[in-house]
Amino acid sequence: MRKIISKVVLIGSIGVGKTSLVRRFVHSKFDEEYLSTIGVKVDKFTVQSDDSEVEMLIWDLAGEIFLNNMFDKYLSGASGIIGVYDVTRPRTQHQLIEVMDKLKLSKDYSNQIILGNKIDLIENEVDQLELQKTFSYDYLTSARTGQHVKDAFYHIAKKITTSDV
Amino acid sequence: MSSENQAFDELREILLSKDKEDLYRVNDELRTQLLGEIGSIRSELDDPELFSQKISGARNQIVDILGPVMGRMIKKYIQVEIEKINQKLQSGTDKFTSASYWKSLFTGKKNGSGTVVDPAVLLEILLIRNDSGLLLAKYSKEEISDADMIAGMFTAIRSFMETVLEARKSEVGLIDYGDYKILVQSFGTFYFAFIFSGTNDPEFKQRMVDTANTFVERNKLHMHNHVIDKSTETILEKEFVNHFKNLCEK
Repeated sequence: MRKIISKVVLIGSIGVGKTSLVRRFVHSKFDEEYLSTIGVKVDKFTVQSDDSEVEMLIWDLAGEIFLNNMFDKYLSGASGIIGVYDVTRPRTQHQLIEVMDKLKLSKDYSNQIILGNKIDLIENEVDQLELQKTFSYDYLTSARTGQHVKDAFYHIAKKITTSDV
Repeated sequence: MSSENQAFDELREILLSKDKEDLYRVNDELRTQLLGEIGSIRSELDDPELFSQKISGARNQIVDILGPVMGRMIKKYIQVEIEKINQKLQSGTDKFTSASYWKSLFTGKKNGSGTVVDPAVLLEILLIRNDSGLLLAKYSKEEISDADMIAGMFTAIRSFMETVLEARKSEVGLIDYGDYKILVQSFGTFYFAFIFSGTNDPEFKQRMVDTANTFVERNKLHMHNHVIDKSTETILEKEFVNHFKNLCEK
């Protein structure tokens, strides 16, 4: 089996639930204090994708770094980008889409997915349908319930393995 | 020739005779004045109370004159003393500042030589990509850490320094953390992190840097994959272990 190691960066505004999504998936070795101190926390986990084992080093970027446009250095060498916004705060979606569109222009950052997080907070079915029509996303996730979290990480792993062939 | 010189001397005597007279006169006046001053100073010096009053009155002037001189002297003295302390710390000869002294104090184990020096002990060498922070290869004496995570976090910290402090990547840098030190040697697309304990001995440091340089010269072909394929990594890791084994065992 082929084993590949890659860097995946999580970006998004403050309080959209990036760290909660990672926490849902991995048991962190580093204290979350790193996020407020140096703006990044690195976690690692491995997923199977087709005939490959993908070891992902997840760089969880602090929202302040994202909002202040200081993430260039942190994105460097990334094989995948996961953009996260909060479905209850439309502004966080606009901020994210703007950045992701710019990043798409670079072939280095073509492997990206967008997650609309905190979907569990939209209880009304009508609102959910409306949201699905108007918002851009690859997955609507919930770090609280775990909805689509695993799918999202497997999806980015698949993108990485496909682009690496 | 000698008659010419004599003529010049005579001419000089004639021309300067007036000046000479003036000079003698001024000299006499000054001597008289000076003797008067000396007499007055002598009497002040003979009278300690008067002398003390004079000095007190002129304190500001004395400070103005002596201040810069004293300042320079004090600064020089401090510099010399700091230099001495640094030398002691570097050579590890000051037993009270040596970690091994305190260790031996608490553990009861004494250093055989009697001199308390913490030799540099290399624990782990990591070869890390500059951009992604992905670990390319490692050599460990003991498994002290999750090297992948350490490489990632370490690179994140470097990115933070570069972003926030606008610090440029330096070729060789040293990070001191408690009992451990991390020597960083940067190349174009990757960097080495040498994790060691003990004194930062320049000779040891140079040996590590030299060994890293020879490794890079021999293995540059393996270092250009964006996503690291395990098969490539295995070749590199094998080379890495062989290359650095001797360095770690010394």
